[in-house]
Amino acid sequence: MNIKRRTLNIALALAASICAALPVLSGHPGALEAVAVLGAAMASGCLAWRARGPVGIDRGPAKVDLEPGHDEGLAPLLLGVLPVWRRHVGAVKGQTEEAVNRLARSFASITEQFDAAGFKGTNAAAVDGDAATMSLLTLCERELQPVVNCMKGILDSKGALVSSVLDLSRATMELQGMASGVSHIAAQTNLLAINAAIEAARAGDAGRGFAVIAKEIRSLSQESAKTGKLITERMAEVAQIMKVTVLSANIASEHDQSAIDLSANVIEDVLSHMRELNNNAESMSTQGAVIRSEIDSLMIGLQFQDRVSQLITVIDADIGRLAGELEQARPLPQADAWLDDLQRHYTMPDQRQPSASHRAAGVTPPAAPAAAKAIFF
Amino acid sequence: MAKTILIVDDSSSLRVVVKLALVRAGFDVIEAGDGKEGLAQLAKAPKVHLIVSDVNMPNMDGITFVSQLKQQAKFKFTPVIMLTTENQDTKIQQARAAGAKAWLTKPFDPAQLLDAVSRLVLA
Repeated sequence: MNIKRRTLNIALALAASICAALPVLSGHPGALEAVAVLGAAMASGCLAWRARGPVGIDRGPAKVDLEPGHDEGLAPLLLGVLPVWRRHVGAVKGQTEEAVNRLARSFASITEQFDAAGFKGTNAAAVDGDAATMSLLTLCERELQPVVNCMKGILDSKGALVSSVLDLSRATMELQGMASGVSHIAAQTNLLAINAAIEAARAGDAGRGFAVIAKEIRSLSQESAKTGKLITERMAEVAQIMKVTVLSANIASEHDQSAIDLSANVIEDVLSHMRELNNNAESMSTQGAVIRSEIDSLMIGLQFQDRVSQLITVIDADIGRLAGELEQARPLPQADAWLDDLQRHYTMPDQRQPSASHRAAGVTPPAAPAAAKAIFF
Repeated sequence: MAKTILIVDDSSSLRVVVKLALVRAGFDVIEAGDGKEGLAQLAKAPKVHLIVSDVNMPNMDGITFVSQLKQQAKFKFTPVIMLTTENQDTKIQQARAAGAKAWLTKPFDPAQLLDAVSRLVLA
């Protein structure tokens, strides 16, 4: 195998490597198109050249003999074309990296805005937030219910006070009755003293001392009558005051009951709003979990650029190596040796595994792997 | 106070993705584009609680970075997660010998990364 044939085989292998990047790009039309065009250009150029001469190609989908002399210009052609390919490879790498960077940063910004809007989902911060909402609700119920109970206790105490005032009012009525009794006794005593004075007068000198006593008794009964009258009047005033007090206490109790009922309703409304808020938070949390799951999937998808970059870096370096060998006019190794060397630069398992069967252009290697489990040392 | 994590990766888009996952979980993040830059960042950062490093990088690869890091007493117990497309056993063993604590293959699931980070940061 002469140098041209080896060069051709190596160039074909590079085209196959470009094509190997295509599955990694599936789902990313822009990058896919760019790499596909480049890979197709390289492959078609090599295959067209191979079809023109008798140089046997020992690896690949077709074996075509090239006419002698037709491959003389292959090295100069590749020397001219390889830098262009490298430039295009570099452009693909640069453009995909820049586009994905922009995409990733925009996506990060959108995610931050979602988080700020409360759609954090099930991450630690969101769980803390949910716990805070729950704890606030529990706290409100725990703190507000005793306030209502306390107000009810105050109302009960006021009821007891009103009841005591009513008892006092009844006792006042009894005292009024007793004061009337005193007045009645005084009147009777007065009447008795008058009769005694009459009888003393009838007794003449013998009844004169008794007449003095009867006069004093009459005087005392009149004083008792005055005092009884005063007590009755004062008791009537007290009874009126007690009546007004009881009335005021009853009105105050009714107002207190209304205020407590209103407070209890307001507290229940507040707790109801809190519960509703909590339900909304739970709903947002559920929606957030869905969004978060989608975000995680997108974050896996966005990693394609890193894989493409590594694939293209290896290809770019290998094109450079081929160009360097041609410039130096050194004897090229067999394609197998070249590919084995190329394989040493592979960094991903899906680059290595299909290499033997995918060295020829047009064969599709498996898609990029799914996320693997972590290994802990 | 949020814990700080250094991401060392030559792919800026990958750094954005890793940073997004970590920031959402409440971590502070600083970045470096290769091992050399990573060492420079560590020299000036007040405290780094964990490092997430790629393996294949220009200037200084991830395994050399971890080796040099572990020679410094200050970072002897700083856990390192290797986050890479590589899965060759020889590379994994090299990373382990250099002092890395975990190996996670790209593409990574953010939940798996956060699980690994939590286990190592809280350990």
